[in-house]
Amino acid sequence: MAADTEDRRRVRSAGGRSRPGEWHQNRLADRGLGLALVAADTIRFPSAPRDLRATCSDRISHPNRLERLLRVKTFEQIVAEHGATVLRVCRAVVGHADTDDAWSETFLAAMRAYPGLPGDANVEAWLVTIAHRKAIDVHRATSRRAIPVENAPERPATSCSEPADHDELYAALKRLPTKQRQAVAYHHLAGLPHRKVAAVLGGTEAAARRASADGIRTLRSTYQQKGADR
Amino acid sequence: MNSTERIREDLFAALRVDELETMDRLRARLVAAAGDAGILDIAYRTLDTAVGTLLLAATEQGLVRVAYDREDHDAVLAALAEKVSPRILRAPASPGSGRSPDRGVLRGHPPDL
Repeated sequence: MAADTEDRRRVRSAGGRSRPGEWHQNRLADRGLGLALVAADTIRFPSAPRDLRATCSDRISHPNRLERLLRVKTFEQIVAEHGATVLRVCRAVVGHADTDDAWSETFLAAMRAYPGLPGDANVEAWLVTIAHRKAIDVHRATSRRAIPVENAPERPATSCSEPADHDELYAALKRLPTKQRQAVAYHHLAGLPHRKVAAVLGGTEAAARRASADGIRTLRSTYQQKGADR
Repeated sequence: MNSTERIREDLFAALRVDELETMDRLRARLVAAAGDAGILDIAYRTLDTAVGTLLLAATEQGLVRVAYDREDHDAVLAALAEKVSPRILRAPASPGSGRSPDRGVLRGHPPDL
């Protein structure tokens, strides 16, 4: 394990943070079985490698600031940091009924790809890009499901989990042209700069900026005006 | 507060309704779906015991790490993310869940490895 720690220092001083997963893959390749089994051994056999446990706990009980910054984030942290934002984006783009599916598909796909994500990637923009594609998939699936049903009963306008305010905002968002709704969500809810919104939507930065501004203007005049009248 | 933040606050407040409950539900669904898809490499939970709060982390094969309070659980998880895989989720014990990391341990049995 001493050599192992040396390795880590060398990697860090040479290239800063390695990609999540890259280190893992190299390590698994180097060691054949991987550290999962080594770690498991320390638990299974109390007499097994003392030096391993010593090394681990030394490293862990004295983390310096730099080390905290260099840490690979667990996917749990990614969900904790970005889950609510992606939820708002999904609600705005696909509406209330399909939000759960869109969010779940987004994070499942993100988790699948996470080990290959470069360490310096903009995680929020990456998640929004995935959410954008998944929202389109979910929307298509819903439209397909909707076709065979004739004279479908009307969905109740409100339920206890969807207060009126909720419904009006969703209705107002739904009336926006798709590009505007997406641009508003990615810029105003996810906080992406127009340049990045343009990368997600395709088209120019100016077009993304315009779509977002037009969308907000329409929302202000329809949804907020209504709210003010009540 | 700049204009973007103000727009976000007053125009989109309705999007935040039920956010905490919804996030709990979605996180539980993600744990289940990731487990089914075979991409949940490590599941963990914490456990309050007489010797403090323990962190229990398990892979498909079984328990890989038990950590005491003083070890700094965040650092333990970060080390696992680097050494094993970053595809780590908190998986609170639920009845009938096969991936709960503490099968047997609490009843005084050795970890199920």
